[in-house]
Amino acid sequence: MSDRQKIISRLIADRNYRADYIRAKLEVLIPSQLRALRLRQDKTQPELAQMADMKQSRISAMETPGKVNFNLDTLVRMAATHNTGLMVKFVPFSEMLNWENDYSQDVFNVTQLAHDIDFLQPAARTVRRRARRNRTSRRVSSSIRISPTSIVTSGVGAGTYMIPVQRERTQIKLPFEPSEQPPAQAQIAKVITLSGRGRSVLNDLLFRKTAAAAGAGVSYGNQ
Amino acid sequence: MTNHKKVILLPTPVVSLWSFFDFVYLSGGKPIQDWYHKEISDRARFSFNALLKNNQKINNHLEWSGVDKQMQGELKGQQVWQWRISGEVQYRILGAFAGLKRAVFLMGYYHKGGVYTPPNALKTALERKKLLDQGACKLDERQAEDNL
Repeated sequence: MSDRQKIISRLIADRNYRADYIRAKLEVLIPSQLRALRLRQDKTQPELAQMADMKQSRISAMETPGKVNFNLDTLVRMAATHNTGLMVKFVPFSEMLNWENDYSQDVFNVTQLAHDIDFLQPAARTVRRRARRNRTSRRVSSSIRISPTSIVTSGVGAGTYMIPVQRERTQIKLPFEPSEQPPAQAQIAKVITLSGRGRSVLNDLLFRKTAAAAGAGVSYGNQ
Repeated sequence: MTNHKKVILLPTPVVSLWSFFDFVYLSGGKPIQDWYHKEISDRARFSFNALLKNNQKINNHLEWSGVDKQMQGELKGQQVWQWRISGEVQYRILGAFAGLKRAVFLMGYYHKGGVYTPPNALKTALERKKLLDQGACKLDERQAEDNL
C-alpha cells in the first residue's frame, strides 16, 4: 500500500486523524492569509495592532502558524480590521485541498469594502458580468456558448452542462448555424476535437440537433 | 426545465517556486526522512506538509510562514534558519539554502526548558551544514506527502 493510500485509509477510518489534517491546514493558512492581507496593505505589525486595538505581539502570534488557537470572534475582528468579509464553511476534503493548492501568500488579496463595487453597487455587477461574458465567450449556436475555459450548453433535456476545455477552443468551430443545413456526422466529428467528457457531451448534443433538423432519430454506430 | 449546472473542474497544478531537499549522508543515511517518519506525531507531520506547501509558493524567503531567520546561540551567523512546526510539542527543523530557490533540511528536533531532543541537535546541524557546503552529502527532494 502506498503512503498516499495509507493516509487516505486512515483519514477515512480515524476521526482524530481527520481533525489533525484539518487543523494542520488551518493553522498554516489562516496566519498566512493574515500576513498576506497586512502586507498587501503595506502595514507594519504595530500599525495593524493599533487599527485592531490589539498588542503587536498578538498580531505577530496570529501570523505565526500554530501559535494562536483562533476563535471565531478573533477572525471576525481581524476581518473587520482589514475591511473584508469572512466565510467559514464546511466543504469536502477535495475542496479544502484545492484551496490549499491554489492558495499563494504572494498573490492573496481581498477587495476592501470601500472598493467592493459588487457589494456597493449590485446593479453594476450584472452589467459588468454580462459585458465580461460577451468579451470572453462566443455563442456558436443558440444553445452553445464557448469561452476560453468552458463550453456552456443549455436546453439539453432537463439540464444545463458546463464542460471545461483547455487550450482546445481554437479547434472548435461549428460548421453550421442552426438555421443552415446540418452537415453530415463525419463532418462534425472532424471539427470537434474536444477530449473526454467534453467531446461526448458536445457530440451528443450535435448529433441530436442534426438528427432533429433532419427529422431523424439518433443512432450511434461504432464511434 | 431545471436550472441545474454541471461543472467538471480540472485539477490545478501546484506552482512551486522553491525546491526543498532532505539532507542525506553519502553513506545513505537519511536523518530527515527518519525524523519525519519516526520522531514526530501525525499532527506535526500534517503541519510540516502544510508549511512546506505554503512556503514553496512564497517567493521571498523572508516572508515564509513559521520561520526563524535570526538564530541565536551556536547557530548565530551560520546562515541557518528554522521552521517551527506545531504539534503536541513544538517541533523544529533547521535548514540552509543551497543555490537558487533551493533549501535543504538539515536537522529536526524539539526542545523544552533548554533540553534538546536529540541532545546534540544544534551541533549536528552545523556539522551537516559544513558537509553541505563541502558538497559531501546527497539531497533527496521533499514533496508534501499529503498532496492527495
